[in-house]
Amino acid sequence: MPGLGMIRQDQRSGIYSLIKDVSLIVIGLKLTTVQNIIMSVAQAVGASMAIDHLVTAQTFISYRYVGKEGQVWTESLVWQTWFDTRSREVYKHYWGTYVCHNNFQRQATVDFLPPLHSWIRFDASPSYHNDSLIAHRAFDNWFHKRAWTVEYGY
Amino acid sequence: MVTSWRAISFSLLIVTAVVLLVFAVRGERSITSYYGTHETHVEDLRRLNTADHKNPSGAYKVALSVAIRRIDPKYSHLVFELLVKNPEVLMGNVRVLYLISERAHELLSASSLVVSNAMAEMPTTISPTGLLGIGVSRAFVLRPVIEFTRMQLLGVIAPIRASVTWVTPAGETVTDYYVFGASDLEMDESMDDYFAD
Repeated sequence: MPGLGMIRQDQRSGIYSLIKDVSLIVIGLKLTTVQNIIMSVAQAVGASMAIDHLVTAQTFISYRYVGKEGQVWTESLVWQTWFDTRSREVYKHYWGTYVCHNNFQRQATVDFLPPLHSWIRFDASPSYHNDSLIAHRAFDNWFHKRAWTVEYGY
Repeated sequence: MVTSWRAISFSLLIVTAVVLLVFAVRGERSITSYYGTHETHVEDLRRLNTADHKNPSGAYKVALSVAIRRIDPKYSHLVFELLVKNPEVLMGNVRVLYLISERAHELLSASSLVVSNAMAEMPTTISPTGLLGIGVSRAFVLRPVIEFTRMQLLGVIAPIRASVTWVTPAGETVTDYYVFGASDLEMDESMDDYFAD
């Protein structure tokens, strides 16, 4: 979403009692319901909902990029990076809007981010979980005077 | 000759072992980067940071509240809500945008500190006889930092810069800008419970 660092995945709008069990895609095959989203939003806002009003529920994801560097202790007595492997963590966010008993429209974005929540998908690069391979690739690049290389999991 | 060949092999083995030890993977680096830039919104944010506090219309009231919702004994959400209420006229297509102080990153786990209703595809209209107001919130994950006081919390989240854009009954688009200092924020009762613990 513009400026919020989030990418919209799915959306549903309608009268709450009619659509509360409708599923929305979070990512891939991971689903949630309109009810889950609106309840999370109402809990965050702290205002109870007037049931038979229009609600809108949306799912979003955001990314965090993590990496490991393979470094070599060179002749110049400094650590130099010769291999970089980058992976991506995917997190979910809910956004919803409802009408409360005071006849105010309430809306909120609820973040599911660390340390409270774990990622919902991890796009790992091929070598990410193999530290000795990362060290070997770094040494190989340095020994053969190749360029510093980067691999991605996304 | 055999002995010296063995000595050379042994030396090579030692050198290899040292080299392998030295080529360890060092540390883990974390890069935080998020998608999502949009020229219009970037421009809105730039205006937020440069605009003075002004509310030429005076056709409604605003309140910015802060609450802490405990999720479990260790973790909580810090929830901000900007409420546009008591409209004196029909206010069409109400859009709210606010930006928490950059220092709040010390306490919040967040990709950005922007709160907005830009994702709403249906415009929200409020009036003295219809919907009486609109509240735009975001529930941020509060980092489990050692301890902080209410004053320290207020010190990092303020100032908060906000804008409310709406369309008058005559069709004119109005944008009002606000700067909320620490003393302008309304504290939810949940804050008392949190800091009493």
